[in-house]
Amino acid sequence: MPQIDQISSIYASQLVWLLLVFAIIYVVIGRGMLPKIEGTIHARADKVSGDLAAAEAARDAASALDRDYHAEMDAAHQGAAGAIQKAKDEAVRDSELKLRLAHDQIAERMHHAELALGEARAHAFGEIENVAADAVRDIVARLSGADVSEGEALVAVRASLAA
Amino acid sequence: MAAEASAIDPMAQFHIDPVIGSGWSLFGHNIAFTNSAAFMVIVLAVLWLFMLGGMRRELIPGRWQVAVESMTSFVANMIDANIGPKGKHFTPYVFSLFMFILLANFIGLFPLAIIPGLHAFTVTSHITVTGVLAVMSFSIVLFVGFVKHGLKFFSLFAPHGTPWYLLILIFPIELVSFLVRPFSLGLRLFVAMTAGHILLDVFASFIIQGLNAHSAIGPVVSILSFLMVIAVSALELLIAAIQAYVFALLTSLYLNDAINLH
Repeated sequence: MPQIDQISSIYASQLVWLLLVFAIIYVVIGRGMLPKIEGTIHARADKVSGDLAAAEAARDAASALDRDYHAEMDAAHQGAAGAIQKAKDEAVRDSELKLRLAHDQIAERMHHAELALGEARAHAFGEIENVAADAVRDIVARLSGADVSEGEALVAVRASLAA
Repeated sequence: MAAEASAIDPMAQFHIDPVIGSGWSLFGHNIAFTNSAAFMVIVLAVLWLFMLGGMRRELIPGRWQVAVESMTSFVANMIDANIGPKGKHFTPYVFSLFMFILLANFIGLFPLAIIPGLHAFTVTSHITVTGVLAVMSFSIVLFVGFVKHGLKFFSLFAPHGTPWYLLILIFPIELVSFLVRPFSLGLRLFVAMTAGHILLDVFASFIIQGLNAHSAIGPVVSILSFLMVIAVSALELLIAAIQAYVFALLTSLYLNDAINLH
């Protein structure tokens, strides 16, 4: 085994070169390069966590904005619905009033018309009686030659109309 | 060539030879730039290039940057889970350790031998390397433990609520298990890497020997060995990652003992 057979001739060379090489590795790479690389890793981790925090804050702000927006929209919706309801109620009340008014006017006009109709009918009845009495007096005069007075003829016509 | 092929030495891959400077010395010790040292430098270069891809520091990372960041996060999370916020100072050390071992293991498995004259060398298959790394981790644990807690660090060996008569037994047991840590840490990686590479080499040599056997059973052995090499290679890739993880994990657990004292 050369590792043991050669020890007496190589130990110094191995020790010196190992220590030299390892010292260079430790100083140049371990102390020189490693901290910079770790610094980069830390800087990145800080950046990532900072960005995450910023994103979270932005998300919170956005959700707050969204909440406000929804609240405002709800309020506006409610206001609009109230306004619509009020307008509807007003319109209903208005039309009811107008309807009642029109109804009353129509009823009044109908009343007047009925009254006029009754009057006209009574008047017409009076005319018919007079015409009938004249006719009766004519007929009686032609048939019998008797002259019936206007009053008698009217009474007789009224009696026969009432029968 | 024939003589060489018939006598494949599965240990040859662990042999260390000078590349340049075979005569260099420091305080009387030879410090030649060997193939082992060359692969340490390759690991360093590959690791540096890999990390360079993570240095673009873009907010939205590309694939490479994600790969680098996932490695650093992996170690950082391991430290955080095992030690806590106090362990942050040790992330560079554990990361260096983890990446060095991981890349050494992977690069050692790189099929460089298809280029004649070259072969990949696994830095972590040497006890002289893993042992140093283990002793380094253990020394840091001792240093941190005594600096932070002084002599109270010895209370690590006396778990809370232990009756005094059991303490007589438990204290030495805990002490020994603590002192064994650097050996188990270093040996585990060394043995895992060595065994895996021997296994690969042995099955690979069976392929060649089967083809050279000039018998009916030869090709069958070769095919079975080839399938075995594929399976063992996959297993070795897994072990390469697991061993690096285990080394880093145990180091962070030991550091946790030193920092938080139970």
